[in-house]
Amino acid sequence: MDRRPILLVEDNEDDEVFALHAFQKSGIPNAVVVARDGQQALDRLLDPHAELPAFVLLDLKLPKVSGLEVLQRLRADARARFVPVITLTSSTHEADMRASYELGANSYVCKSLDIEAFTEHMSLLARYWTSVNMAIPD
Amino acid sequence: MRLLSPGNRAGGDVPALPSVAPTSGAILAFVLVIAAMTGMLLLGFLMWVDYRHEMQTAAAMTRNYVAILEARLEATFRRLETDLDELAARVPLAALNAEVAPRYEAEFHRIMVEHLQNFPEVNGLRVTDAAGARLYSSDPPGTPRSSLGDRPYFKAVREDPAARFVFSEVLIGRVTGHQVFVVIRAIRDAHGLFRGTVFATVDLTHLEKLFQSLQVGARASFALYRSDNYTQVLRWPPAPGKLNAPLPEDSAVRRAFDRDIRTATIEVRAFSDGITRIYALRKLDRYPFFISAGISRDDIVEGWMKRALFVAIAALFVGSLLFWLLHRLWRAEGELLQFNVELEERVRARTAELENANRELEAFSYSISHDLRTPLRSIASYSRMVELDYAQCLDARGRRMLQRVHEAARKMGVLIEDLLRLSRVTRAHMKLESVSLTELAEAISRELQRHEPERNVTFSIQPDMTARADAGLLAVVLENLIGNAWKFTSTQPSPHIDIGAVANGRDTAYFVRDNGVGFDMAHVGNLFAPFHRLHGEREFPGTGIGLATVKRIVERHGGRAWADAAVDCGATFYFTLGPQDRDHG
Repeated sequence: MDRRPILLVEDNEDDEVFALHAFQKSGIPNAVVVARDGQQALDRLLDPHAELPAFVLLDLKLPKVSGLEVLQRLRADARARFVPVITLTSSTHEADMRASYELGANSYVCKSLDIEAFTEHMSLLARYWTSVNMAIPD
Repeated sequence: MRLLSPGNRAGGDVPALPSVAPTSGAILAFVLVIAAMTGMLLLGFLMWVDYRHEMQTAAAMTRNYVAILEARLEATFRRLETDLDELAARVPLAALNAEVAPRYEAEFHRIMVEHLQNFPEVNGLRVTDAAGARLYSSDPPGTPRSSLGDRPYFKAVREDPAARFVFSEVLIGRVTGHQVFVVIRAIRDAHGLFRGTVFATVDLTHLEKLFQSLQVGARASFALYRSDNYTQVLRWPPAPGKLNAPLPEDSAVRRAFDRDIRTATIEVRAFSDGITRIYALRKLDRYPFFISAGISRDDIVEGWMKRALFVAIAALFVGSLLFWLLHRLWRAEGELLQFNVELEERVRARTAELENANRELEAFSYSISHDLRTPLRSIASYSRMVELDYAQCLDARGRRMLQRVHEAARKMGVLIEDLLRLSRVTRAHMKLESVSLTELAEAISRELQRHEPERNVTFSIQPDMTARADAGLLAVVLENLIGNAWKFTSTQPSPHIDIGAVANGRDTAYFVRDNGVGFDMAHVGNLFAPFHRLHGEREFPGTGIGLATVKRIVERHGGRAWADAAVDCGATFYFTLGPQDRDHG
């Protein structure tokens, strides 16, 4: 089990609540670190002294630096490039999904209006990336 | 959204407008120029024919004149010949002696005067002896009598036994001052011995008057020439210096007669006065003379010149008018072309503006839908979370209200999703390919049945239907239409959905027919507008976006969509897919 914290990059507080709700409901014990914009996320991820997260839950629509750019720069960084990234897309809009996969996202979660469906999907992915497909230790 | 249908076009490129055919004016101008040139040529040809006709008429006229004059002269000479023969026969050889002359004088004078009666061309008859002395004469008594002995014509008639008549050169009458010539005949005895002559003086005044009386223009000329030596005998108008002078060796008249012919028509510039005339020439049959009659070319063409001038001025006027008209036409056409270019430019700019506005609006509606979704998600999610986690804190009424909030948010979510889909349909890139409509319809019907297995709907799908379209968009069309048919047959005990194709003019119209609730055709006008619904939400759920999406997709393909229905008798929805589908198998 990967116990490192999860990095949630999300500017909308409600969406943060729903994500935390999903982790709680699915019994994910990891701490959640929240970054409010793309820059904060990059500062944290590219800091050589900071611990890398178990995975990143990355919203695509972010202030300052967009989610896609965060993803691109993360994948270009030698140390952080293998951190799993789950993108949060606002709808099943193909273009967003395709772009994030092209830039190296591992999964995506749609911000569904159905909180139960969202919770289920979220917990599935979270469990997968923390217990099934764990990062290679440093 | 429904205001902006021009956005149906895929790219930003605006096809050029069909401009007002720029060739129509050019064709008209070309036809006018050809017509004008043909007219000018025809006119020129007519004038040339007219000129030829004038010349030919003049030539014929001169020929007629010389023919008449010839007849006159021949008659005169014949009579003269007869008279001279008769006189010669009546003069006894014994009387040809100056010594006996007084005895016969009175008698011969009387006879000769008688001969001259009604013979105005001849002004005297005389008889000489062998030496040329005049013995008898028609002259009044006492007229001085000269001897002819040394005259060339006397010598000629005396020396040549074969010559019956000899014509003298032109002489000026001593008494009258008239131009005359002598016609002389030898009197010979039975042995052929020359015994004397009888001769007449022909007065040319009479012929001159005849020449003068012929009215054929101020510059006409008539002349009598000797045909043996080409000397001039008489000419009108007079050319005094040329009297008895032979024509130059290289004259056209001489050349004309070189060919041993009696008549000729020539056009030549006269030696005497430098006037160019059309001459008719005619040799007398039995006498050594020829007559010429000439009409001045200027006189002939005078009338023609007037006509030609008139025609030229008229042609010039018409030509100028035509040129002016063409100039105006060209200018107008140029302006029209310019206007067209400007118009096209304006339409292009306006279309680009419109497309831009359309794109902006699409983007706007997309982001609105998108942005609306975020708070909606909060409403839907929180209400559901409260419903799940805090149910025990609420009474039944509170729970019901919360459910209503959640349900409303969900519906709004579906609506937004539909709007986003409609927006995507407009913006999506189209890729035309051959699509099996039959397979698509079968897949959709299977999917519908899988979702609601409790319903028993009979599908009849025409086999082997293919269309040229964007596969994804065509699937959206069929999903909407078959989905509608599925939905509106839900109250029908034995629902039936029919999918096929029929010919519609040059196009193929595809249709989806059901035997559901149908609708009143009075409301068909708004059927394809977004948010327009003919049935209550409670009766048949829906957002009213589906047919708007169908319409937009079909129009993007260049086709159209329409419906046919009646209340409780089902509905048929038709669509065509534009020209690219027309030639498609």
